[in-house]
Amino acid sequence: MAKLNTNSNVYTIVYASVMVIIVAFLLAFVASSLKATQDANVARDVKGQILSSVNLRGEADVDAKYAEVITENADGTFTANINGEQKLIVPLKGAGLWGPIWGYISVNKDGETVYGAFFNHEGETAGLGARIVEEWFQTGFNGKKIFMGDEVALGVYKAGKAPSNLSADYVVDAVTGATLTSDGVRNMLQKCIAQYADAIKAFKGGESKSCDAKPCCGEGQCEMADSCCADSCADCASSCDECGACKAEKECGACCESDNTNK
Amino acid sequence: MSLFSKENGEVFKSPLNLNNPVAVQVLGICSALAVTSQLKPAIVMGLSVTVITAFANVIISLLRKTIPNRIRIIVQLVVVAALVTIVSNILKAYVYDVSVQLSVYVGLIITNCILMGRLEAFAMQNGPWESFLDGVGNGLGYAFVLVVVGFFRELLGFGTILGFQVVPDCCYMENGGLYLNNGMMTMPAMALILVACFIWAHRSINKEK
Repeated sequence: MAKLNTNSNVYTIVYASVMVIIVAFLLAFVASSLKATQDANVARDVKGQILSSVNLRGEADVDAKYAEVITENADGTFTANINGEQKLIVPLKGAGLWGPIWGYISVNKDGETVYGAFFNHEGETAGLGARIVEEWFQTGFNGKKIFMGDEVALGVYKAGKAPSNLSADYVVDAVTGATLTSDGVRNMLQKCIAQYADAIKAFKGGESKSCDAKPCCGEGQCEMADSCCADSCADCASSCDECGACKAEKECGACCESDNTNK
Repeated sequence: MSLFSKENGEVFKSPLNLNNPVAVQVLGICSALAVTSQLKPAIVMGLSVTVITAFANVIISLLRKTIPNRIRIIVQLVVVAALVTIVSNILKAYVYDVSVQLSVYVGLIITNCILMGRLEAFAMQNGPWESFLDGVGNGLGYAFVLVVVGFFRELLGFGTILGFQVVPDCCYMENGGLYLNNGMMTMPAMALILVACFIWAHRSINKEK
């Protein structure tokens, strides 16, 4: 058998074509045979991330816990039921230093206080920006306030660099050495929460907060007008919403007036 | 020639010390900067590079007599890229956590100069078994430097080892102590300085050789 001339053009072209075809089939085979497992992993990972945002980290059976706790809403948010209390989970998407970052943040029924937060990233610097996935950073959001007026004031700042009008309730410590990723987290929070501000307001169940501020007629009741008392603050707010006429004539009580001024 | 002959032992051992790919040949520096700010990604990266260098070496060594000379670099690249893609797919399917942690760095193994260097310099001329040993040796030599650099960067930069706090909390400035983590250590530039220190130490120890 004559020795093959491995330097001839024909041999080179045939060799390259055969190699490429073999590798293409091999990769296609590997990718398609593993796809189902990978997709299941990705879906489970997303569920785990959503659970992390309501401080349920490291659940052993993510699927079961997710089915038990989380309800998906039509507008892209999620409602979580934690020990009988409802939390609204808002998805976040933004840009870090090297690539996309994303997360979920859960809000208490008061539409104001953060219950928990979760962040993740695609390719932030290991040990610097990548630390936004770590628990100590995320739990730093627990109990912080989101809105100052109608603006999203919650943000991530380097110690001492926060705007002076922000109280500590709105400020989360940035990650050391990861200024750009931290800025990305702040921009993402402010942009995405603002987009869902209406959903958060609706979740709040009307203006129960301004009701709380007013003296109630009786225990658990709310002043609506001189002669009317609603059974609960939630009732008061929803009935205010329903009676557009009385709003216009300012017949409703103090709580509805403040509802009007808010709008 | 037996599988564990003296020559083969030398092939395996020399990249660990006297011919270390990072300390002596100064290859693979870019990834040594990127993944060493903490110990754990450094270890995983070192192991991944070891596995991929070993298998790419074996495959190229088996094909070495058939590879057309003019496109040999392309053939090597295709083999490495295919291996990296397969490994990354398998990681995603069976150890999803690890694959998430490595993120882009698995893909970046393709660009590691050590891989292409070993394929071109060793696997093209030697048999599969020697090539395998050479791949494992070079991978481990690379991993060793990464682990040393990662150890010091994590210890001095964060006060932790593999995520466990080793500097007592009470020593920190904010708790009334005198100690402060060195933020410089978390920056990629410090990896260069540490690698340089490593090379310095390595050269002074092996001066007479």
